[in-house]
Amino acid sequence: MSFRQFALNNIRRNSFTYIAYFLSSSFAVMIFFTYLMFIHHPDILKAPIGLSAFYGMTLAAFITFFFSFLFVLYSTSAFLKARLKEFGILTILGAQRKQLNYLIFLENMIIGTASVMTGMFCGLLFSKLFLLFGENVLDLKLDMYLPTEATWITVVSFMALFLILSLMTTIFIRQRKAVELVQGSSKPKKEPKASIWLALLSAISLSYAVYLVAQDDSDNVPLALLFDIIGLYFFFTQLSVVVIRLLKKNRLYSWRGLNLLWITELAYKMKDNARMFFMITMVTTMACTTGGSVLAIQKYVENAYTESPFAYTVSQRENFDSKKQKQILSVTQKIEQTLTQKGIPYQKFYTDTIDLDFKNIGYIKFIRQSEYQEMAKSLSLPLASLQDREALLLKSPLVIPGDLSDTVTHLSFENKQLTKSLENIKIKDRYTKTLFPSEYTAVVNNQTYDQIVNVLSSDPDIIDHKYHYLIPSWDNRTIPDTNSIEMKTGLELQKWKDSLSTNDTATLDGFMTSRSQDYYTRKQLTSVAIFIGLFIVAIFSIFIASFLYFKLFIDLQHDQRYYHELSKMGLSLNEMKKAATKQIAILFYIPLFFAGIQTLVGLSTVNPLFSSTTNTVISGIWAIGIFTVIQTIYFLIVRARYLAQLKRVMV
Amino acid sequence: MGMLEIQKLSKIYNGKVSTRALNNIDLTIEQGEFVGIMGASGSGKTTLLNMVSTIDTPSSGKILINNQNPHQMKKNQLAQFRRRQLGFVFQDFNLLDTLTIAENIVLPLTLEKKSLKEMDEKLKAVAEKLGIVEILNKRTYEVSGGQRQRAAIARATIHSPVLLLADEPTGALDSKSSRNVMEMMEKINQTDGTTMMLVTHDPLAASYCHRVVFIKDGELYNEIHRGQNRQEFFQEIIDMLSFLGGNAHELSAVRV
Repeated sequence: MSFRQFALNNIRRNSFTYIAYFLSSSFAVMIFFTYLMFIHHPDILKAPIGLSAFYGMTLAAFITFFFSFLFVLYSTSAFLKARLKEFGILTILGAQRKQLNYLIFLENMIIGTASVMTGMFCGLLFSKLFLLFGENVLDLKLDMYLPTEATWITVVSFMALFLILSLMTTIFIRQRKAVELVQGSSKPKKEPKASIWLALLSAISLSYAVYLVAQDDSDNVPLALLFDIIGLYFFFTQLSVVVIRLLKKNRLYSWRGLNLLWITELAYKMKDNARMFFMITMVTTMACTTGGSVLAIQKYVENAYTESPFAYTVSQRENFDSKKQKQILSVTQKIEQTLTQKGIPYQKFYTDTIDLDFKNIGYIKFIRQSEYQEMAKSLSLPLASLQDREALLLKSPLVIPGDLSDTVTHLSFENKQLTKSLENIKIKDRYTKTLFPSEYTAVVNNQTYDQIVNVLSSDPDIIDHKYHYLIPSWDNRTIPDTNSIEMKTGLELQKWKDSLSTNDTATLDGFMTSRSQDYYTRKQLTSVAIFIGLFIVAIFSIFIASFLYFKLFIDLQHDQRYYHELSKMGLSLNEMKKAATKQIAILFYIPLFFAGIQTLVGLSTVNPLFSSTTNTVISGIWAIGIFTVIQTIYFLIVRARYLAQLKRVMV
Repeated sequence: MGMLEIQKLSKIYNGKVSTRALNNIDLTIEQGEFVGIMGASGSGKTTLLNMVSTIDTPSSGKILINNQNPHQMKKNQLAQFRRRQLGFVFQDFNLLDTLTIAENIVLPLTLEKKSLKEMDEKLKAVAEKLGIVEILNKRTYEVSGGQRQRAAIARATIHSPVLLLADEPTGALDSKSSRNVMEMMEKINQTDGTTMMLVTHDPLAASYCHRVVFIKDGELYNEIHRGQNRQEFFQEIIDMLSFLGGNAHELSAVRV
């Protein structure tokens, strides 16, 4: 048996422990490679949102690499610790430090190389699939190509990662006496100790963080986060131990059935894995918060479409003196032409609006009653007879719930001249209906409107002139698919605009916004974010699961002995399964539980930034739910494998 | 009818070469009896103990404990049988080092979900009997080997088993602790009337039994009964062992 064979055999025979580590590393390599394959695709920048995709994926590749680094570092050092005894025996047999280092180095490099090869192989195998997936998301034809650049970058960077970490890990076992090595991790563990003060600090920090969040002041958020992190860290390292000790003291509970077994084991596992729990909780929170935000944004994008009654809106250009211009390109004309050509009936409305600033409230859009009433009939909006200085207030569901609460009855102008001549505006009726998306709209009678215009006559630019196109056959209650007439027409108009030269653009008499085009672009951006985010979340969850798997299987020998002894004493198979399941479940779900709370609290603080139709907390629950489902799948797999191993020692 | 009835028990290990570990063993242990099993390494005594412990199944023959045949039970039922009817003492104590001594001792009762009051009473009684009251709140690694083994005996007897099985209980102890542990077992046997079966190499430990059964090559070879004098019995055991083919000089007489 040569030295290299010895190293290879070590891995082969420990394959049960190494498998999760190996698979996760391979997966990370594959994902990294996939990102690079997109980044270096010759056509990627041709997509309308190619640049954002390019930067997003570059960032994602870096994140993947960074966390792979942490993961490999953590895993190898944990694994080395579990094998101290083996190294001790080798030392006694006369193995030199140099040889031990070489052995560890060789083992790590064998696994590293195998992971890189497997990851690359899978990456290449599935590359067509990923490209198809990407084509769908980016709406761009991405041909299969030979990703030479992606290949060599992946191979070089991951081989370097394994090489550096292999060299680094040998430091971990340096300077230990042979006797310590022989005793290794089999020394009976001391009872976990915790400081009552630090536990108290944890409880106080966590409560204070909750208090800060409850204050509903966005300035508090960084401070709350800081206290949350401090509290959580000491929760896992100190408070949890104290809680378990209290639980143990309550003998009525702890001295009953299996409780004695799992509670005492838990005390050790908690303390041993406190840092890991902390890390996992933070990473899970990051993944869930990101996921929740993306989902919230996606929801918002959909609502922005369904809450836009007009298919097209054209803002007339200010200071556009049509007489001076030799040539005018009319946007409205082009739209009408296009629609008539396709035989699509439309209604056209004209509005003059003014944005006015109000004390403690902000801007509200004002519109003349006569113009409003015309549109209101077609849009089935509420009508009202308005006296002077009375307003009908329309709140778009997309509007960010701001300072205009339902208790406000009068609007006071910020502008002094307006206050002087009009005093204030009384809110006669209020409705949550959309005329203009994302805005408050106040309808006032024509006299009041003209009065305002008169007062502000020194600044004619304050009035927005707009044309709105209502197309009854285009239903905006459901999201259009790319083949709908609305989408196609929108795309056609977009292409027309894009095809104009700079000179031509200067002659346009207005700017067109199209709800379908807006939706389409935003939708693509969120799709790219989901596409990238999905992989990141997948990587995180796989790293977490495999790390937990790893931790469990390092303790396997100890646990096997433990349950073997109990089994002789008469612990039945079912009882073993129950106790062991509890132990594994705690490893998996405790970090998830805290991450869930953090995510929800975090997302609820950003909720005011979204409109009332988009609830970030619900998106957060979705993200956590998805993460929980994934983790549960891992949990079931790990549990099955672990119980199978324990079952073998049951008599 | 004895507390333990072993009838025509055989065990064959199937492998590339089948090994007959036990052949046609018949043995009866009466209620309240303290029986030692001795034999050279590989004679089959541990195999026999494993069958009686119900953690191994016989190839043929029958074992009855308290008139029940544990090998016909289902797995979960069997586990319950072990924890209610049997008590185990092992060479390496097998105490769980995450628990305190007290928690280790009450473990069989907590699994049965007994009331706290009952557990406390039993714990107090057994700890006093075995002289381990002071160490009850210590951890397993904080006490000596002898104390650990006494704790293990406490755990094995707290639920008043019908049969106590001991596998080399003195194997990891010095001679003083060995004697102490054996005296405790003798005491329990006398005061509680617990039936005991002891497997051992140690003639000193065996000399505390009422009867010692010798096994050679998987078959019952001989048995000797203790008279009034333990010293005499010890000598008889040593003679028997050397006759069996063991080397008498390996077994020092100095320990008596």
